[in-house]
Amino acid sequence: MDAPKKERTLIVIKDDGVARGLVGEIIQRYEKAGLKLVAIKMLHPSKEMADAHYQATDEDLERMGNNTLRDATEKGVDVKIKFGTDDAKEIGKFIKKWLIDYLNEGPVVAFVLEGYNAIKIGRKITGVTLPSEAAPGTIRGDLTHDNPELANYYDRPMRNLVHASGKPHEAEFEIDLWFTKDELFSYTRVDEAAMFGPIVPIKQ
Amino acid sequence: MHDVLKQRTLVVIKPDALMRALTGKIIQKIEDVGLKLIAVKMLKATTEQIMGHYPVTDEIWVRGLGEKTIKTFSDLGLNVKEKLGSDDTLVLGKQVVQKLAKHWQEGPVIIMIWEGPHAIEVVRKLRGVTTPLQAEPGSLLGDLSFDSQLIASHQGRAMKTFVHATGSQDESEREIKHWFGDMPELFDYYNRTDHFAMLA
Repeated sequence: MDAPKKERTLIVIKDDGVARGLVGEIIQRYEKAGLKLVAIKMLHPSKEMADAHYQATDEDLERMGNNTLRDATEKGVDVKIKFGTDDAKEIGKFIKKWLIDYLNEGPVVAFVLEGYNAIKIGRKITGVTLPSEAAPGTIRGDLTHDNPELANYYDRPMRNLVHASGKPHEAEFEIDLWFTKDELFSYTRVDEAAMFGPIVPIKQ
Repeated sequence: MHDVLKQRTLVVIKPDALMRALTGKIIQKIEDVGLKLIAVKMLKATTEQIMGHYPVTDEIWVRGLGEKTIKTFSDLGLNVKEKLGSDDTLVLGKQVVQKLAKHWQEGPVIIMIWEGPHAIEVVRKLRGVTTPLQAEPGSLLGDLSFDSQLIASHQGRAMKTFVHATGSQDESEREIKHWFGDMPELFDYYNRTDHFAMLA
């Protein structure tokens, strides 16, 4: 069997988390699960950077649009009135614009976590995209409860506090976008051996 | 009044705190009191950077460190000359600086700037007095460490004060300039939501 590999994932505490003073609480959630903080910085993402971050293919846009269309149908909302179109891709573009606005709204704290299955574990601790449906015990479930209806009503992006990379290729792309190589560090956490190392008999 | 409301202080999370995964706890403590985070970066401090952080060219300051060492050793009933090879304050002071640098260089550090009313005094209070053994319960050093001059002297190392916090207005300006440059990019323009209730 190949040796298990460590992964890296990008987490961004968005401006609402920073303004609410939740940075320390959020970092702690990941730290306590054993993920290692290997890069961190504060910055205000430009629209260009946010646009690059949400690199969406036409398929992605259509998927986002279709999700919204499905939601709208379930709730009996007329998307044509809301978005001026019922074309999935056009609606997807609208949603992407909201995501960009959200990231560009104010200063954020971005960091990179390292660990075994860091991407999956990072997502689990973060909770599902819709805060209203995120499980208790997750960051989104415990620290907010925003939902798409509220976002739609107030014509704003849905605020879900943090971004967490979803897939290995996304994580790699995002870390490259947000950090330079010399902003990433390596060190050993004191609890690593106790958490993941082999059993070492204690000398009596 | 503006000066008091918008005071700035530099805080460093040192390598031992990172290795112990205490970053979130330290940040939360400072956030909870209502101070605003306006800059963060991670780096591995070079010897030159560390020497620039402390006023090492100030002989009086260095000798002061040596004097403190002599006092500590005498309080502990240890022979400073036997243990450290000298009782000259300048030599001892330089040794202290070397030990501090070694502590800083155990790994990467996180450097932050915090802003808000009485920021310097508030963060020093939250950090607690320099010796963890004597730091009050509720303070970072008091709650998260047991280190003392006794243990540090016996182990021939600096006391592990895993958080640095600026001590005065003068130091604050010097340290911010040292670590973030003449034209630092500071994110001081957002509002902390709790300030609407705390400062209204």
